[in-house]
Amino acid sequence: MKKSSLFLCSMCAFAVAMTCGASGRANALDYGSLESLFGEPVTTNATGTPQRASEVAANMTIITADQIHRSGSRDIPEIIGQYVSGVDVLRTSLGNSDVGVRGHQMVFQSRLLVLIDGRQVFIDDYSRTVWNNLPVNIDDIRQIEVVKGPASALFGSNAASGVVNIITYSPVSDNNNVAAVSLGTQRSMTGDATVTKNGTWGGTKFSAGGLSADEFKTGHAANDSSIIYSPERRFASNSSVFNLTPDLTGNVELTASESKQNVALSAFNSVGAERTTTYSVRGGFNWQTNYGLITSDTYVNHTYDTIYSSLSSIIPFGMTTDLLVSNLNDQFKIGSDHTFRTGLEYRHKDFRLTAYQIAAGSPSSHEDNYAASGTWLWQIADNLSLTNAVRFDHLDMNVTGEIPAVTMFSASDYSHAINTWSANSALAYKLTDLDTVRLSYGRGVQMPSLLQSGSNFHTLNGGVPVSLEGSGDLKPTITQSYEVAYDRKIAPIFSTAKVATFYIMSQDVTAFVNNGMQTVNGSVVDLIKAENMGESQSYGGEIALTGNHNGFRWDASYSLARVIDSATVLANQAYQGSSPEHHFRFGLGYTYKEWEFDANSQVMSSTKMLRDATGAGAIPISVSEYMTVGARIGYNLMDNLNVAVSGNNLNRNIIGTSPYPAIERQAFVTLTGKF
Amino acid sequence: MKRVFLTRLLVCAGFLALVCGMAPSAQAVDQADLMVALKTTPLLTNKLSGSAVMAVVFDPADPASKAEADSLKALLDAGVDAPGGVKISGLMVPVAEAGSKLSMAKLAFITKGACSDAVSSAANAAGLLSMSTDLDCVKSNKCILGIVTKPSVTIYYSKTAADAAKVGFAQAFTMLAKQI
Repeated sequence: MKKSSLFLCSMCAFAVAMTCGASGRANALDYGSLESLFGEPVTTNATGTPQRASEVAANMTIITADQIHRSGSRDIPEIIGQYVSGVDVLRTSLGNSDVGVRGHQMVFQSRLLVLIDGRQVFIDDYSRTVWNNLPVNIDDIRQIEVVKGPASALFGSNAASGVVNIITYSPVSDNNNVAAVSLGTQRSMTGDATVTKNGTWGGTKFSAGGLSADEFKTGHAANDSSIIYSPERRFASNSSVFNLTPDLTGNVELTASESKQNVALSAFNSVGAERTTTYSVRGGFNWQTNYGLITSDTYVNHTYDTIYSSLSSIIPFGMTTDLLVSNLNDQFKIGSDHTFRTGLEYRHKDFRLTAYQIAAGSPSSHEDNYAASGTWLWQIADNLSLTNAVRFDHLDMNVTGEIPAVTMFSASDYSHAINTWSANSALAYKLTDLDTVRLSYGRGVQMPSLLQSGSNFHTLNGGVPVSLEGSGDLKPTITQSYEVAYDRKIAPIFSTAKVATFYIMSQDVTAFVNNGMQTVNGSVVDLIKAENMGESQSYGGEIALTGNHNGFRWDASYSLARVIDSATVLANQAYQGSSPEHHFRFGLGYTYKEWEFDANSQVMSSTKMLRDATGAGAIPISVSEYMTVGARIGYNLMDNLNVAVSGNNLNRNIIGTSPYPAIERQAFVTLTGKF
Repeated sequence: MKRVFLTRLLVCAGFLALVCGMAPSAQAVDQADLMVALKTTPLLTNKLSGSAVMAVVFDPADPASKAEADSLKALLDAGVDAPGGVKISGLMVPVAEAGSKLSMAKLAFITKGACSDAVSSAANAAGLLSMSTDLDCVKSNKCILGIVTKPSVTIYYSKTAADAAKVGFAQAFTMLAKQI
């Protein structure tokens, strides 16, 4: 679909949505009022309907704005890694990280869906998240919700091992006006600001900010090239909510973001430089009716991404990805014990390799995805609840444009349909007011990335012809998860303990496989082709204790994640060993009058990841166990002005955390003002 | 590395042992109930603004009801704001005067022992948000919200009573409340 028709489609969908809503009434989720009332965060991320954090039917951690403030970091993956057990952060450069859940770590993480206020910021080209490109002010985040386990039944494909939903302050029910500047080592400078204006008519919020820094000066491998020495980020966003009637609100959102960072590339296992530009337009409504809370959300994401170099002599290439999502949901109660959510969703994706890089032609790929979903919460008794969610997806795919002559596939091979379903079920039993047991099952779907399913390009690597071919016959990866969890409040020590064990089976794992020199249509090429490879299993668990009292706060956890790959998966993707089997986290903080003291430490066991350091092919590289220490001291100069000194990796100048370039100690001074 | 683990574990254990000995601070039940009750007001479809009167409905013949009302009135007289900076003032309303006085209020706190059909009818006629810690009053659909604050906040909600008084809430709130 051409850009203009995509735009037209989105505008039509938005117009239809607004027309439907104009005859009725609306109400948005007021996180602040609900959190204040119930004394704990509220989320819709587990079931699509509002739930209290202590009652969610999923393994979820909510990182609050206060925790973000005290983390001493302005980097979202680092904050997640600091507070969420069972999550590992793979940092491959100053501006790039990947977040893995329960053992399945990889560069260009495909299994974790990332959203901002429910809008997908996960990019479908490689299926990954460019965290450095997120158009969000860290001081405008109300909470970060991290769900461990498949959640495709609610969010669609790519929520195969979890979801991160970043919830920002509401322009209408919050009044967040904040500005912050931060200076630090690596000549880092960040500046972010949010201004909110609201009234009875609704509210609008502007955020803008950026980062400039010098890349870590730790050594790169011979096969890494075109390194960006000054990673950066710029973003701007506007979000508005209009109170059209007491029961109807409409919302509009615009974002723009540009970033440069060094990234570890999947398929090549080397470091390249990347420039990413994203724009998004969004509109929707919340309409409170006698038939329930009807919500509609439509958005378009446009992403242009240039990989300056993947291998030392491959010509740089660019990718354009357009995503249109339009959905309609209804949440309603029947009687006092049954809460339902029903939803319809349409997704359209366009993907094309662009610009100056292609030695031969390259097709554009297109996907149309139709989905129907539903959730049913049954409060069987005061202490027993059952949650079920299911989603059916039908996906049509095709390619247009020139297919390179040297390829295994024709255009018809890429025209195909996939029908699949995902599900979640959770039984929660409150043994007493203090403890809850939860049994849960999840079936998640991870669709092949657009590169894996529809790309086809032919280029040169040091004079050797390379054919990188997506496969039209790929099956989605199906992830099934079984979990038993137990939460207990321990009043005498003002703490909550959480224990969980899990078993995860992923079938039809997909990755690019380097088949070496092959004869294709009479030409000899280095054939890199996307393939379904087999299974990967993991098991383990987490135990965590968090609490606070009299100004003190503490947080400790241990997580175990053991992964067992089939032979083909181990050779080509290697989840096994990609993240530490053992991960300890400790955090301790204290607030005294105007002072805030916080410290954290993490200890990770050894890992072994695939890495192509020399250009001779990817081999497993071992990384020894390591420890990191972070700390923050903050002081409130005035009611609305805070200064803080913070740092991470304080225990060593340089720490090798992965086979990619080591990371350096970082320290910052941050001034934050609220007005 | 094992020594590092052990050191940190011991520090944590020591710290937890330290905080074990600390006692939780006590809080007056009525005050907690009142504050939670007021925190429901931003979730009304027709939000309060400026200032609002909270009627404290009591039965003069019931000492417990009267005592609860006196306690609430004292808290309100000390100066209480609902979220959004809405100034709340208290108005003592004996059950016998509910029909004539409730129309002066936006909110009604029905004390235990003061729940009756007459009070419910007067509250409905005035279209005000009625609240109580008396869950039986909510269960009999004579009051819209039941407030429980211990061990954790739980809100009980009578849709029948809300419909009768034409009081609407954000649906997210009614999904989080326990509907009777």
